[in-house]
Amino acid sequence: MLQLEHYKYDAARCVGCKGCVWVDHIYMPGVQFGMKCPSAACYLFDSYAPYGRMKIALAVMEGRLPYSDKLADIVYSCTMCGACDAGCKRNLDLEPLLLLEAFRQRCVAQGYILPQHRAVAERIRATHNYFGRSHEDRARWWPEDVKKTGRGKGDVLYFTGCSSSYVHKEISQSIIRLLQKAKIAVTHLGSEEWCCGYSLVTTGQVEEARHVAVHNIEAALKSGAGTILVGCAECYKTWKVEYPKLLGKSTADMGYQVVHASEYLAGLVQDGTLAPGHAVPMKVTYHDPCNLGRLSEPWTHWEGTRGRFGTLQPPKEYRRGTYGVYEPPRQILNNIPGIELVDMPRHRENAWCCGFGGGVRDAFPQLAGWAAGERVTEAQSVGAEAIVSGCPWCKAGMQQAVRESRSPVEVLDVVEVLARAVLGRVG
Amino acid sequence: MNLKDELIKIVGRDYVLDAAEILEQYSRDHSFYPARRPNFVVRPHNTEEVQEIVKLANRCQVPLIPASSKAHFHGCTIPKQGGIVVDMRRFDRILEIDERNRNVKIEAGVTWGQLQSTLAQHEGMVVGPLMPHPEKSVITTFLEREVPVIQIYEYREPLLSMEVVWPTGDVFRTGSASAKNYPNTLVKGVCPVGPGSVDFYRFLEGAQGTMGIVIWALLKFEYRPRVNRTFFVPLRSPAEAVEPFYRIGRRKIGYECLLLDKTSLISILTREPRFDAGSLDHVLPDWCLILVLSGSRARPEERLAYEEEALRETFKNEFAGLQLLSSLPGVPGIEHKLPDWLRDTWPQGLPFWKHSFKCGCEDLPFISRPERVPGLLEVAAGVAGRYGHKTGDLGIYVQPLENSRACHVDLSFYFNPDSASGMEWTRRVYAEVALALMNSGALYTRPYGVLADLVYGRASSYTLALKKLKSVFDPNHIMAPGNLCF
Amino acid sequence: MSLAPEVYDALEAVVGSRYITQDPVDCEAYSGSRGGHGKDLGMERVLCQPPAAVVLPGSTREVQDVVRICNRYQIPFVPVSSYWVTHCAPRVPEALLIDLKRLNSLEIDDRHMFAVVGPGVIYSQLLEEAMRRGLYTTTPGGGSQASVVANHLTCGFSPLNYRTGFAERRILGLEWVAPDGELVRMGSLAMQDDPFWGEGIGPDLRGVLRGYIGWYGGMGIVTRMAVKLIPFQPERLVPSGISPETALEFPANRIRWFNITFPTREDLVEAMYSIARNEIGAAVTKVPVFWRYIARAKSKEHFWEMWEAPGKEEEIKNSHILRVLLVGYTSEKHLEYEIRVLEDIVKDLGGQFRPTKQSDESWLKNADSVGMWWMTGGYASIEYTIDTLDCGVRGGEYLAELKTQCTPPLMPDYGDPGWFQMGELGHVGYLEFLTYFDPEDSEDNIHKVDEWYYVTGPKKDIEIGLYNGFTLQESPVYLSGPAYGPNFHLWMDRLKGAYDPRRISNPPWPADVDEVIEKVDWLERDW
Repeated sequence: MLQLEHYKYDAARCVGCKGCVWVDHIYMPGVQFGMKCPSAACYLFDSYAPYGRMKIALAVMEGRLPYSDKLADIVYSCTMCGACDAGCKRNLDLEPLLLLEAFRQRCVAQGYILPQHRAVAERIRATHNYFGRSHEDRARWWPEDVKKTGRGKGDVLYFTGCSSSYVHKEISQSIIRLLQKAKIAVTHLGSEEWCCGYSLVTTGQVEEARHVAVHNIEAALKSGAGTILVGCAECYKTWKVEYPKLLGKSTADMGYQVVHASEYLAGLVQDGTLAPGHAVPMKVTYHDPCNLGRLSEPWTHWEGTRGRFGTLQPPKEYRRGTYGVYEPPRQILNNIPGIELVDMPRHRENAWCCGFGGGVRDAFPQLAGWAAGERVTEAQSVGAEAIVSGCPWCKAGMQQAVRESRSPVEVLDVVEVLARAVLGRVG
Repeated sequence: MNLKDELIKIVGRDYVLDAAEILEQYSRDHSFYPARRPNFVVRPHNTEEVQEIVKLANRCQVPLIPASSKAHFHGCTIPKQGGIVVDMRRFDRILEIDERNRNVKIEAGVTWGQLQSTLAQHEGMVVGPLMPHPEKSVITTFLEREVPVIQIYEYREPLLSMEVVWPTGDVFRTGSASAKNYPNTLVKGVCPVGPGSVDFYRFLEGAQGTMGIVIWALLKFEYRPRVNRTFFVPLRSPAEAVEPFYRIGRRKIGYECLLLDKTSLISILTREPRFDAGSLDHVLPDWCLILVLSGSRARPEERLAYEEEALRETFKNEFAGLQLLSSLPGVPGIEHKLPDWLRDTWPQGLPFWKHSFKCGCEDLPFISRPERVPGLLEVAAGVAGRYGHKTGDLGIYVQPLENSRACHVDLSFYFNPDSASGMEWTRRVYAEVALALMNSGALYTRPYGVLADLVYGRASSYTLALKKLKSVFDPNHIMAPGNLCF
Repeated sequence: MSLAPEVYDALEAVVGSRYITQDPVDCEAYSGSRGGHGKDLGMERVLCQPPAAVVLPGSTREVQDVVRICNRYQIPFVPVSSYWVTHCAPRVPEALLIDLKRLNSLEIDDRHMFAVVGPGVIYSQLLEEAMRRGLYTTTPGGGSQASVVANHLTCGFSPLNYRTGFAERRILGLEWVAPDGELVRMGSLAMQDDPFWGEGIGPDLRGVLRGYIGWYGGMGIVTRMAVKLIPFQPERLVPSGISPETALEFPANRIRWFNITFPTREDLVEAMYSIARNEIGAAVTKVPVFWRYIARAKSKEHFWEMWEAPGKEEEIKNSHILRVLLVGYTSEKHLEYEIRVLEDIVKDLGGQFRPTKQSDESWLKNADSVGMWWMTGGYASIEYTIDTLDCGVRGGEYLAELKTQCTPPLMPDYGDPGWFQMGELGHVGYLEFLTYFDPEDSEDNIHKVDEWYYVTGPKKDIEIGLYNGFTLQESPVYLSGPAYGPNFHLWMDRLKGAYDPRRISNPPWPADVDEVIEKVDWLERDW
């Protein structure tokens, strides 16, 4: 469990430069789309910006602010997208995101939790999935005509995740058909696959999260697969970053490797195993999912002390968002005939969050919807016919926004587009 | 003790003047504004004396009118409500020329003729307005915000720090000269801003003597280019100059860039006896855009070369219908002389160029966007035409400012100062033209005389705020009352 | 702490319920422990506090109404936009914070080279729009995140001021809600609905709004300002890289940075004068050596490993690096010409060109001022002098000597005389002398930093005759004020009285430091 006090230095040393809310000035596109923090942009008061939350956290640590509904509102109305984190680490190397994670964990530990988040935990506990759907149905997405080829050791384990298991089956089905086409042996946990627990860990419910983590890790290791393939950015970050964090380990010590479908499939396209032969004539833009992009760098467990001028002993590895999975999805799209790929003004580590992460879709649907709507507007501003992403939750959020705004923009996952190009079909 | 005795006590008997003929001289200037006599003229020669005079005026509630030199053009030094003219002509020292930092420190009475001839010895110049009167005070020129004719420097204001006696009698140094023990300080006084949260110098500019008496000031000087190339673009109308202005300014080509109508150009060219106004009238175009390219100190020819290439390319590609001439037909050799003329004062001893036409001239200066200048000139011509003015009766000088994002326009109304009715008639035309121009968007930032009533009546919130400012620095309202909105 | 119900209701009626709060959690986010410059020193620790309420007005009219309500009920108000210095945090109880971020309109008149901005617009936004049109302006030392309006009213210096001049010269027409709630339009806006020109009608009231520095909200609120833009060059600067290594790639035919080393500081200074005399360059600057280490450092720990390596004193004594930016404003040949002139100057003075990245990490669109806190956690510039370059260089040397007496607790910088550069094509020089400290240091040591910042430095300025723009920010104005002007503080005070008769616009400015000194026992009052 993260301790809020570990981040007191970070809270106190924030100088209010707002690097956490502005797009990197080098990439600053102007007034429109100039901010990258949905919470700050939506609510406007500084209390809803990372630099404001740092000060609030400091006041809480110093005993100057008691818990209140308003405090909870501020602490939880953040998508945990990490735009602030990459921004802060461009200049100051503070940890605004870890601080907020710790803040949420502290709230939960002291019994302050939003009912919507508690409900999610209850659903996951009862049904092992986010939606509260029947666990028996979890693996029903697997196409009947596709054989399960995996034999275990050394194979690829496809961890489907709740969304692609129950809702966005076109994503899981596209992935599995593409792997089949590439003759890749894939294994699957079947009923042993539980929700990854992203919604738990991100809302500070670490005990519940640890429970599912332990289960999933044990099942994965037991399967003997060395590589865990995911098509969901939330699952990706959870397996790669949150599980080691929950267990006090480093990613490198977990005994498995996590790969996102876009990374894996980009490699197959690059080496010619998959040939996108069907043209997909479309101008598209790629939406970088936060958990696949700037938040996806591996976690390195660190224990140590701060010394003079705030130096750390031993030095720690910073996760600055530099090495996120930005290029593989773009490589896939650039290899598809007919596709014209354009970036939105906010992209890669400066990408605008779809609004659905961090427990916001559960407790603050208005913020989630607004943020997704902003992203759709941004996509339209570059003339995109489709927004392509690498996460079913991003897809869900933006599809909802498209429906609500009656936008003509289509929302797709990168694996769907690849499936169209390689297989001539989706799912 | 009466006022005169008090003044004598401060400056000495020789420098308190109240003879009728002297007061008569000070009752008028080169403008068309009605004469008003002062009660006294005093000529102090140090800061302490000025300070004492100001304190005395406060005690006695007598107006003070600062006057810095012998040549005044806008009626600002005419005592509107009587009082004491503080003539600064004895403050005539060039205190320091700092070539390394390219500035010069001068007193308020230093004239253009005096300064430019001295700086010429250093290959320097203060970038001044178009051919200033040699007897005009340099400091007053810039306090009046007259526009420099060279606009290549982004920060066109040449005034740096100053010493001023506020209307309360307090002595103050603005900018970095405000440092304690100045000038025995590390600072030399070249920073104009401050001290503190106030740009005091901004209150003195445009103040027409109402905000205090400047004793000395530092000004930037620039090196005078050694090599120059002059170009002329004959034009049929000012509208033809608009797009070239924008393009030349945007590409930062050249030093001087200005537009003159035929009348003004003749006034300037006839300083050489070989040029005759009548003949020039036949050969000169109605309008002439003048552009001077210059080399700076290093590799001057190379600088000229790339600028000339850019200029020729601009005209070839964008203004093919205009002629870019390296000499002015009918005015042989003028291309070689003009750069120096533009950077010097008007020669001592010759009638001032603005007075060569009818001996008297009143300028109507305004600011506008370049694209609006032709329309405004038409408005002026239309109103003046109703009074019988023909083309050429007004002199027109258009100076692009700040990379040509704006223009300064001087409309010169010529009159015979010996004809009271002629002056009155000119005043009437002037006022009507001014009103019409303002209604069409001309901006008066230097509201002399009748312009003050026009603009302050319209800018009520600014006027109110300005009066608050005035009340801080001149609580007894003794400094140049009747000028501006005070 | 909260506002009286009738005050809150009145404010709510103006801005709407969505844009007002007095919840203590919201207010805490606006508390004093935030400002960048001067953070963690006496000002913040002794005076800064959360506001009683925060409003987010959406128009000039709303700002005006809010200010009028403040006048009616005698509520002190603090306007903030990008909120970067401690003086913008409330320093008195029961203050209303007026957050201006909703006023974020930006319009550019390309042809007449100016932008009209609200206080919510920051520099990188303006620069992006300007550069698309072949225009630019200064990105200030305060950083690209600074509000264009607030920075023009407050400070606004950077290496680019070599060409672009003082920020106050770039202020054009504007709308000013005076502290008493009166709306005053300045520049051409005073006369017409067009802000393209800055000069006042007669005396220029822009002089009330700022001097060497601004009022930090102590003189009402500017809600809309036109700022001058300068011709740049037509090529696109292409962004590249991923955070934290992002940069704008220069078009090689139009823009070049040069790093040049010189045998001695004297040679370096001569080169700067020579460049200015020859009217070339877009920026001419000598930066503190440790900035170069910051740029190279992969982490804080890496920085300290490099910075505390043996031999640093000798290295810094012999390190004379000049950075020169050349721009071909007129054409590609313009750049080629300037390169030739620069080569002549460097050759004459025995300098050597060093490898330089041809991209902008700082000063054109981006200014990484924030990174200065990275290495130590605490930073404040003690000096911000504009006069001649010689003055700046000598002043830096004096202060470097003085600094040794206070190191530690200050970060050692081995006698580096600070950051100096040319402004206004060499007519002025600039010195900024930087101070770093560890804000987690012992209370005694922090008090020593306070003393260095609020007393020792300012007294040295007065003694040797420097002109410090930060005087107001870092010294007790009623004690140091008599030395400048003289008595400039009295004139400020009178102006404050004239325009803010109730003294409610960000009190106690300009007497902030006086209040600090009054309240603490570790700063001397003997001036």
